[in-house]
Amino acid sequence: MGRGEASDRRRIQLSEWKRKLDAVKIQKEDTNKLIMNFLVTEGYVEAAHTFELESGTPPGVDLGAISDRMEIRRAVQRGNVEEAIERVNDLNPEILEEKHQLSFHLQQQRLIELVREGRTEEALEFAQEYLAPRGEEHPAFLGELERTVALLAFEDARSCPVADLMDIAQRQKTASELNAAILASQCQEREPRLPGLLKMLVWAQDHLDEKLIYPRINDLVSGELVEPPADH
Amino acid sequence: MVASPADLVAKLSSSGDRDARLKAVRDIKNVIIGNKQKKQVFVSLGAVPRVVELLSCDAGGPLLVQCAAAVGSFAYGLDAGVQAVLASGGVAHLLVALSSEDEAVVLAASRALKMVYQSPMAPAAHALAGSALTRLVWLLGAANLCVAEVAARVLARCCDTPEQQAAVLEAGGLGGLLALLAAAEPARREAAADALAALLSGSPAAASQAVRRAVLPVLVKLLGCTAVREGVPGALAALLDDCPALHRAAADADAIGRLAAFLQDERCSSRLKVGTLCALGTLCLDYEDHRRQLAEARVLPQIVRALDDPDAQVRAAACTCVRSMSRSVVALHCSRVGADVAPPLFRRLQDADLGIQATASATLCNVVLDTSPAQEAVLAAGGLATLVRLTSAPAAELRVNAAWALQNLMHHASADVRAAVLAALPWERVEALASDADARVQERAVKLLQNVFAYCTPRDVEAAQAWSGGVALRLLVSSANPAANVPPLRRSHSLYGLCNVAVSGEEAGRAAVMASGAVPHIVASLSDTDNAVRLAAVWCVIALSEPHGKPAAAQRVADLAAAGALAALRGLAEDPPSLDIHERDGDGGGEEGGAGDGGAAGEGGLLPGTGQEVLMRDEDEDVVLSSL
Repeated sequence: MGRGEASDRRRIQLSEWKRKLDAVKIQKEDTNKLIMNFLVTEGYVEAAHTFELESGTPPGVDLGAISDRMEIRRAVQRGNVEEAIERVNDLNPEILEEKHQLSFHLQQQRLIELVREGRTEEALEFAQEYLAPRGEEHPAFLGELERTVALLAFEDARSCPVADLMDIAQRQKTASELNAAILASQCQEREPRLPGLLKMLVWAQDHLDEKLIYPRINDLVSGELVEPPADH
Repeated sequence: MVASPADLVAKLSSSGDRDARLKAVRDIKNVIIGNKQKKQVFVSLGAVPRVVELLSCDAGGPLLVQCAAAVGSFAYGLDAGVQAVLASGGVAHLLVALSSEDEAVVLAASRALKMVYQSPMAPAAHALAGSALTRLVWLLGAANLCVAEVAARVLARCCDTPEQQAAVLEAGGLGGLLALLAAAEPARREAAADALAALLSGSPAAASQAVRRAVLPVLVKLLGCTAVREGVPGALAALLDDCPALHRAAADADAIGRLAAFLQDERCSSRLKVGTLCALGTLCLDYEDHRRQLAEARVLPQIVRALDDPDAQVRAAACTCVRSMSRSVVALHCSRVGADVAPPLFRRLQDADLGIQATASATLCNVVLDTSPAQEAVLAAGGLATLVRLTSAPAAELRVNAAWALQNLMHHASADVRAAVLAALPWERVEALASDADARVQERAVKLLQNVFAYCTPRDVEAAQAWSGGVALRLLVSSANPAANVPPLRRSHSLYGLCNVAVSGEEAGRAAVMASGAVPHIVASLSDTDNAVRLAAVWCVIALSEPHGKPAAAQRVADLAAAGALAALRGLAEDPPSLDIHERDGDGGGEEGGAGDGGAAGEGGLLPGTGQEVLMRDEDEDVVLSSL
């Protein structure tokens, strides 16, 4: 914007743009559903419960199942992988039975946590007992398996070439994968719809920029319409 | 770290401590889920029967839930695990658990059954009745996805006999399944469609037709849904089976194209292949344009490859599909299909599975008919020796098909094929077939001989006689004898065989037939009660009275007249039942008087008539539509 060719494009003033925006009718229920979808998918059980009471929007799922999912996710984030595995198997044994990669990543995370706690001998035993057979069964995991077992070869796992595995981000990655799998098993979307809509807004504005000069939303947090700069 | 597997298994039967048992089952479950190797360890420690035993006692909800989950995990992904679950009666206990008051138990049992059903070893039929069925129908409406789906899958297995189907209908299964068919989730719709197909299969009732019509679009739509497609083609095959009225509707909805697309996908699983090939086989059974659609879908290489699949069910399904395709003259003649399928089909003649052998041999009957690339492939692949060996197979079905394939191979055979067949097939085999215990095999033997003498030269006739040690003609004469206890159909074909010797063998052939002792049988057959026999006898008279005006022919006419042929023919002319006979009769009478000008065409040509020519040398409808 504000480039030389600006004059080629039609200009729409704030008042006219607002009038056009107001002409688009959006049902209150639809916005509420969008918000509920966000709260449910992100696991804000309390907020979802309150929002249901206040707006009358049904959550569409058993909020109890969300609590389970959140606790399972938190268990991984805390580094208590065993608890997460037990809980997810109680919630739905099909998940880890069918998702080999997820199952492998959870066992991998278990090994990482053992290393983190300095329980090297146990870690070694665990790797032989639980990780190695999976590598044999699924050759695709071999690369990752080797990287993980490499942790055991270094005195200080935190400063070794595969130290990234020790990072909290690795826990986060495993927790997200598990969370997504639980959502999928409950026939729910893995991601809330709201971020998708915001991406579409950015995309649409980028395209519109080529044709029009109009009041833009530059700050997604405030959602404020910014008047286009005056012509030179 | 958990206790050792042996310790855990020991704790399963610790008599007193409930909590210890519960913990042991839960620990075992958490170790084996997703871990094939650990499953193997526990299976060999005998854990499965013990867990199943706990499942059978009234042990309270939490323990039942853990036991069901453990049983389900054992049954998933490990053949030895499924076997152990089946052998210990785990499925029966899980079915009982479906009737529990405890929702958590019902859910756990449903999930476990779902795991069991994913195995090809899972029981194909359950014998449930009364209250259990009512309960299942009620579960179809369960809010939980898995429970409703599993209820449908169990019901699909309760439709093995018409009585069972009636019991499911009685329990309200139809309404419940139709409601489930409208569910949002593909998995539930697929399970419902599968169960409906099972419930309706074999039932020709109009109501069933109407329901099938309702189910069809759902299934065709589900073909495009990647999440559930595994089981859909199989259900579609079941739905279309015995219901040709739906084949058109399915093809119009592009079922053939969608199914074919599965075969193009390299990740196509065995189960998907089996269902797809069966459904395609059914769709191509009756309609030529369906076969053309499939031929145009460019999946023939995949179908041909499936004939050699390591999985017996895939091979069987591929055979069925190729068999349907082989009914199409166009599909076989206009492509190299015949040549491509012949070698793998010959390998299937030696398949360990008898059913596959039977389908493969029936398919070959069609493939070798009149398609020179296929015939060459047969000779090249050493298939003849296999076919000849199969003529002495213990199963009558295989002997019938082998003799039939040889018969079709000899139909319009080139000189090379003719020579190869006669060289590979010892005359003793033909005699054995002609006196086979199975009447169908005897019939094939005569038809084979009929074709041996059709469309060939006098030298070929001579060679064929020599091949039989001079007794082929005698075999035809004895099986044309109206006084012998031979079924009319075989007698008529024996007469056509004699007729072919007379036509193909020219003067020598006609002289041989006259001298063979066949004349009394031919004349007696002119007044047979069977239309086909009378017609064949008329053709014999026509052939023997050729060529007009020659002294030898006049002599034969005189001999036939002396044997009573003229009187018999006059009798036929006055007898109204068959128009065919009248027309041929006119020709024959003319010939006999030596004044007719219709006459038979030259060697290998077609005799004048009204479309019945093909009967003369070959087969009737069963030439192409073999044994179906």
